[in-house]
Amino acid sequence: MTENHSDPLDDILEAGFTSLRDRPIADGPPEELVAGTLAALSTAAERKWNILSRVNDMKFIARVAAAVLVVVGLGVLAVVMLRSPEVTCAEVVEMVRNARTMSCLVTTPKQASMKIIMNDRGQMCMQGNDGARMTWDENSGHMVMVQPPTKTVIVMEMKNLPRQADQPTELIESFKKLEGKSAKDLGEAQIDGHSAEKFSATKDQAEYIIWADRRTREPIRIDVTVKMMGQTATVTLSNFKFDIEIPKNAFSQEIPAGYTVQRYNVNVPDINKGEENVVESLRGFALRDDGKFPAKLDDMTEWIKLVKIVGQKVSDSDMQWIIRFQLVQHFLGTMPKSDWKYLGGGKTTKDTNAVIFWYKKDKRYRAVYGDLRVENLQAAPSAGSK
Amino acid sequence: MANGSGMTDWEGIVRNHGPTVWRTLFRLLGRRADVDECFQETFLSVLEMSRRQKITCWSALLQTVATRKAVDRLRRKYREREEATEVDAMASGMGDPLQAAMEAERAGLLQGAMVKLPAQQAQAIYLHALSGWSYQEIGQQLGLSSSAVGVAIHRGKQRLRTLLEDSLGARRRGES
Repeated sequence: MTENHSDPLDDILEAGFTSLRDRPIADGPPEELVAGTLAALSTAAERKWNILSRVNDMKFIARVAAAVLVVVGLGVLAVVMLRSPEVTCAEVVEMVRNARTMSCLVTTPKQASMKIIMNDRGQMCMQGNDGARMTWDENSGHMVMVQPPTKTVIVMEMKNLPRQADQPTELIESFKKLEGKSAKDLGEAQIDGHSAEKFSATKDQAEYIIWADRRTREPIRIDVTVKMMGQTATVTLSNFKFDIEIPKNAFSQEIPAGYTVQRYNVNVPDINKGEENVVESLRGFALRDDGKFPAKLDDMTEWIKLVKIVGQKVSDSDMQWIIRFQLVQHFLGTMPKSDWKYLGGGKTTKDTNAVIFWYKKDKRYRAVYGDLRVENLQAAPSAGSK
Repeated sequence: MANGSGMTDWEGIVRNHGPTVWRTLFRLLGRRADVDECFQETFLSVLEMSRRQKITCWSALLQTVATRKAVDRLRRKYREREEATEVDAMASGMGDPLQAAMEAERAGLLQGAMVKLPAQQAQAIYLHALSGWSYQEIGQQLGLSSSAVGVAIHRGKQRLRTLLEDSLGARRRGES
């Protein structure tokens, strides 16, 4: 590397560095600073975890991510049911699940607030400020949503739901690696009147912003931005309380007397089979819309219009189809935008040789055609390819 | 650095390396209040790092973290439009006042430009120019190759030249 020292700018630069190098430095560190630092280190060293490992230990974020899967059911249900004036359950579009005992406040994009209580046995209770209550048992896949305003209870049985250990979302794995390269320390920040350390992590389909108390290292607030139902939504978690006493009946799934019950039985498709979910979602769409494919693969608007409500209830197959749509969103979210393209707009199943979707996997391309067969490609097809 | 029980000997670390951290911070920040805060933050950050990785060279890590903390602080201060070149009376009052004022001006001019560099680039330049680290030593701490450090420093200095030129030009225009 050569430098031109005759350049006056270089001289100014060097003079600046020299001034800094030669800056008079007070003697130090003073003893009170050393003592204060040692005290702070002692306090910090006693804590066995930092914010990120704490989050990991609690499997908290993992369960937030896992909740996305459950939210599929709730969110979809909410969207679908909103079409029916008798039932309103928009307040329960988002939910979060957690391990051990913990409570927090969840604020949804619609500014609805819900208190969530969770334990380490896979049970969760979510209560809205209008009295709506949802309980979820991970072990049984049994979800009960009680809605006082409409005196309705929705019971959802989810079969084949992946267990925590092999939850499908890569988010879990992402957060196991939070202390590594995926997490960024953004430095000091003020949040809700606290001096906090701010972290961010972006992985696959979600972005996490974490503010942790600089003294206690406890989380103050976590913003989780996820793609749900083709839309981006940010859920804010705050007011964290760990290792709390939980009331005995907090997770009760008893159905109150006098309530109308709607039951759904849903086989949750395998979220790890992204390609299959794309194909089957598109097949479902074409079956419901005279062989046509949707204009977009990542926007639910068009899809939800095809869901039929019979007697105020969505059919199990439609529910399952829409849940699969959400799993497709997960699949798309795991890839860079440039690694997939949907080309099905305006095409039908009769366009047998038209590529309607392609994605890149392990340096090769996979293409879905109008007849829904899947083949390998040498290169990404152009938009107009036939 | 562990004591007999296998626990990290933080007192030994602070006592041994505290003066180096102090000097590193003071050189960059020049203000006692900033130095105090960054000093403690540096050791707390290193404690967290020590939970995740084996520390082989405490001195190098502490200087790296201290430099990063100072860079972050300077950037914040400049963003907040504080007078970052203000230095402690205790420090600036030493020696010839005119000379001190000139040096403070040069330092301020440089730091005003440095805060506009990417943080890691600024960190590398400071470690090289002020702490006298080699590209290899900087690379080891920042997780970069020596050549990448060289490129970062070269580009950083190029950018500094441009920023200084702009800054001086603005001053001249302001004076005319």
